[in-house]
Amino acid sequence: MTDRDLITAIQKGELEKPIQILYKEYPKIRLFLLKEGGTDEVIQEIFNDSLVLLIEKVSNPSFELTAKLSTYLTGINRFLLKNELRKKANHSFVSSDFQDNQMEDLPNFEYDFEKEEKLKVIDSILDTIQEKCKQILHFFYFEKRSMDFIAEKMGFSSVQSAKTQKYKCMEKAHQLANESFIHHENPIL
Amino acid sequence: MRADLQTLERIEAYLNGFMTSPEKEQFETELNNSNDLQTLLENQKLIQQAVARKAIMAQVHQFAPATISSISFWTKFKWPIILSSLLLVALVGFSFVDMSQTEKENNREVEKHEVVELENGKQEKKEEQAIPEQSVSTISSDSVCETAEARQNINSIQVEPPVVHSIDKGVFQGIGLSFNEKEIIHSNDVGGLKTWITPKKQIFTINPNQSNTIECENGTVIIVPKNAFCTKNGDNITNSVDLEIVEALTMADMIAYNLTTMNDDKALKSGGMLYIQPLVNGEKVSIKSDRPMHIEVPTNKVVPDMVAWKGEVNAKGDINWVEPKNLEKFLVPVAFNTLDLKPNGFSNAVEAGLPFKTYTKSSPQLIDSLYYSLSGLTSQVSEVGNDFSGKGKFMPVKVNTQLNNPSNFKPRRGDGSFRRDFITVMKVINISAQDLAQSTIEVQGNKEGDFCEFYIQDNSIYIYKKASKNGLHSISIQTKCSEKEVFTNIPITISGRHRSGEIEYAGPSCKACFLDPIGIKTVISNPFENTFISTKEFETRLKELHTIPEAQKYYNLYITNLTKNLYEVDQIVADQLSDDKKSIFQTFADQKLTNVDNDNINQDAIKAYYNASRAMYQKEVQRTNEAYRTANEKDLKELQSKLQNVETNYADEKAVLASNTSQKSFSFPSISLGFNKNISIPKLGVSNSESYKVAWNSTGWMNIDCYLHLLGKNDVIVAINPQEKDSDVKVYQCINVLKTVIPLAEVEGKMEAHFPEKGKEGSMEMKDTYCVGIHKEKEQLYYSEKQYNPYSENEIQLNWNPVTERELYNKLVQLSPINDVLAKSLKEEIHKITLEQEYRNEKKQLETEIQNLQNRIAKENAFIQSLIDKINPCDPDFCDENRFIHYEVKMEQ
Repeated sequence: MTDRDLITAIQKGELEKPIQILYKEYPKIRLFLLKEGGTDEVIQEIFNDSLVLLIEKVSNPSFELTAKLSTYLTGINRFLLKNELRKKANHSFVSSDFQDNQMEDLPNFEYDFEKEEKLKVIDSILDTIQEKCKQILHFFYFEKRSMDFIAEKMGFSSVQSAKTQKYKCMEKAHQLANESFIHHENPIL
Repeated sequence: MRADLQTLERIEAYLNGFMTSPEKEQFETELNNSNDLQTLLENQKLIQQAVARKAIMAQVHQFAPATISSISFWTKFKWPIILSSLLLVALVGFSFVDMSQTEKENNREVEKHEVVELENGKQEKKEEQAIPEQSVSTISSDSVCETAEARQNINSIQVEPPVVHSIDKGVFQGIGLSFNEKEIIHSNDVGGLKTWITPKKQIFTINPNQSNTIECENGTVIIVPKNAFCTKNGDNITNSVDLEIVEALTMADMIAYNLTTMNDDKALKSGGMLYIQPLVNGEKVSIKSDRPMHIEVPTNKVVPDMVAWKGEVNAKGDINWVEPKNLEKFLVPVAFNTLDLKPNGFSNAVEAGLPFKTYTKSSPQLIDSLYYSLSGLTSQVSEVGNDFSGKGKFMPVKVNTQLNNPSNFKPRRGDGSFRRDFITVMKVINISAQDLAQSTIEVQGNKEGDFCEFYIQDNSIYIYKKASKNGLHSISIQTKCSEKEVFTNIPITISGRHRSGEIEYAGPSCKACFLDPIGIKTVISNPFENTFISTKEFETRLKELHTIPEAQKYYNLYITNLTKNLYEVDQIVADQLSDDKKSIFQTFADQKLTNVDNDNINQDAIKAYYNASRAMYQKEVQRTNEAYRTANEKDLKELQSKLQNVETNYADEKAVLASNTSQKSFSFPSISLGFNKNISIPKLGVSNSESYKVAWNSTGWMNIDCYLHLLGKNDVIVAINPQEKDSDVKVYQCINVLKTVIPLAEVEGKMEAHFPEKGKEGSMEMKDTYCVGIHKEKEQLYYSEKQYNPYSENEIQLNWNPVTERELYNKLVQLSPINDVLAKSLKEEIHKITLEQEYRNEKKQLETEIQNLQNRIAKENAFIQSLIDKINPCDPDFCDENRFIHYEVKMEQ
């Protein structure tokens, strides 16, 4: 598969092949990151995160390929590792001097630190909501299914009750997110 | 903010483009006007994104290739076998019966992997190895006999009652792939063998262009290397190959398949049988002799002396086992992550020492990284190919003619005066007496701030290095050439360890005591994957090596002799050792374990790789340790400089305050006293206005205006009699409404204070007022204070008391906030006190932090030391960092 094929597949939502192929970069990137001070545990996590980031970026129809995907992936990984190390630096030492030039080899890559933090918070919130809610949100927001489909698939008596359920789920998610963010920004409160 | 359902619905519609233009406009207008709505929108976006990410992550986890897990195949109770030629039936581990005695004797060798190689006709038979033939009959197990009889009944062709003992207690539970019963029973599908029941044939279709690992139903593992098959003409096969396999691991299988265990007329004991037939489009194909398959047959118990036999099916469809092959003690490489190459007890030491830094839980990664990180601290790396005696490089010593005689050499400041906080390090220098007499040696640290000093005394050269406070330090010692040297390149032997960061360069009594973790990290990598390094057997040896002082050279022997058989290297090592260590390695050697697969091991390439990686890893480790050390030092420095800043700032601020206070508190910053040179406000008479005909004066025009407008024709006037005519008297009247004091002008020796007419605006506040008088006579201050009601008294007398400046100030302060300026002074005073408190707190906090950091560093050092102790088989006193070590300089006469 060429990069072009991979991108097409990702944009179609067919992730299996791309993930498997991109994962072939893992050993190389791992070695690379090990040298830069990552541990296996962290590297594995970062790599998975980087795949998600990459897939998210590529999924955007306006994504333009300016470098090889593998290069791009390596860049994201390096960046994430450095970011991780930087975060940890408050608590323990960083083994190498941290240089802030990691974005150079990452054209088109934007990383909104604040937003990413928030996404992490929401990610953990999504873990806490009801299983039913998770499913609805997954169907609706990721698979882009219709409410008719969801109502039928999940055995709701009517489309309307599925809709109501969905909004309740969202309301809950919003509420939790809101609390978290407020808490996050004002730890004293 | 509440995210009601309707709002959410609208937000969603907006985000997903479900709104009509007017709706959208309306929504955007609302959006612009509502922060809450904006937040909701943002959160909605985030939630949608997070949901999508979660889904992607789930797929990443789902589709990520599983990590290599073939390890489970290589548990110790499986027997590996190599098949190199096409076999009709391969059976594993036939040995002769009555091995019970041998079994007992060999119980301790249970862990050994017995490997059998069957090469059709290629190697000489080794029947002489052991054929206890008719002793078969001595087997007395009832079940065995019964089984044998049962089988005899079935197979009348057998001449002798075959005594078969299966050591596999497994129950036959083959599921098998479907196959045609008739075809199999009456055809040659299992090598022409006439079977009683349909064999459970398993068929695996494999791509011969890559290596394949097959796990059969009953646990047999077959690894087929790539390009292993050829046609009868020897052509390589690239099309897919069907591998037919029948496992016969239990008695039931063997009987059912008519697999007797006979070698001509001698009975054998079976460890399991296997039928393997590769087919291409139904046509039998061959296995290349140089691309042998690797086969492991599971067993519950390893019986030594098992031999592999080749099956021959006779015309009647019965099998006879021929061409026994003696066991070649093969090794099986396993994945490195299944091996523990660290010294025993290391992991426990790590756990005991936790928490360490941010780590609270022990993990294999943590243990590994800690272990490898000790490299830089522990030993010097010697190049593979050297004699591994632990000696370092030779370094040139520069000699000049400055010194005539060593005994004249006196340590001078800068030359190496001996101080307590100096760690003694030592070089042994082989140098002639004459050279020594003429030598100066320069030693340099590798870092700014490091310095080494030395002196020569009594034919010894003492070299000192200053230890750093946190005990983590590295240094390299170099000698420098003077330009006019007489001799160059006089060798100095440097050996020794870094311990807790301090290096000790010492001679023979501080040897390379332990295996360099770098060396171990280096081998855990690709080039060594298929060598005996990556075997359980080597792991066993390594555990022993860890306990031997100076093990590096033995370890290196293994690394550098990868192509030799393991037992040969064992022997070399055993020969160099003594006592119980010798016997341990002699036992290893006696096991006669050979090597891993016959893969061409490129010794040179691996060696080169080894050296290069070791150098690289060492650099890396040094860098990390350096970073670690620097980080600690940096933290300390940062805290210390913070503390210093706090102290400096405090001192500065205090100085400023003090100067303010000295001006203001004692010379009345807020109230001008007339006699003070610094007085700028208020000035008497500045605002004396005829039109108002009042003698009130103040600096605050606005305030005065405010007050003065209260005054009218019927002012109440109180005369204030200072009763002091000679000296310079100032009297200040408090004006309650304005919360200020105003100096009063003197009229004929008296001051007049004006107040609003009784009952007029402001008069209420004036009821309880007071005036303050101050005068100075011959450097003595006098103070007077009088409280009165202007509406009941028309003249008051002032009584004076001598006061010091401080007392005066305090009195003024006590007047309560009658005056903003006074209050300000008071505030400054309070501020000063607060400042001091804050300073003390901050200082204390920083000092505590420094103390904590120092404690932490000390604790970490102790932890690292505990780890080093675990991996260092030498007596800890051996390299005691506080010991003053010196060695004789060898004099060549």
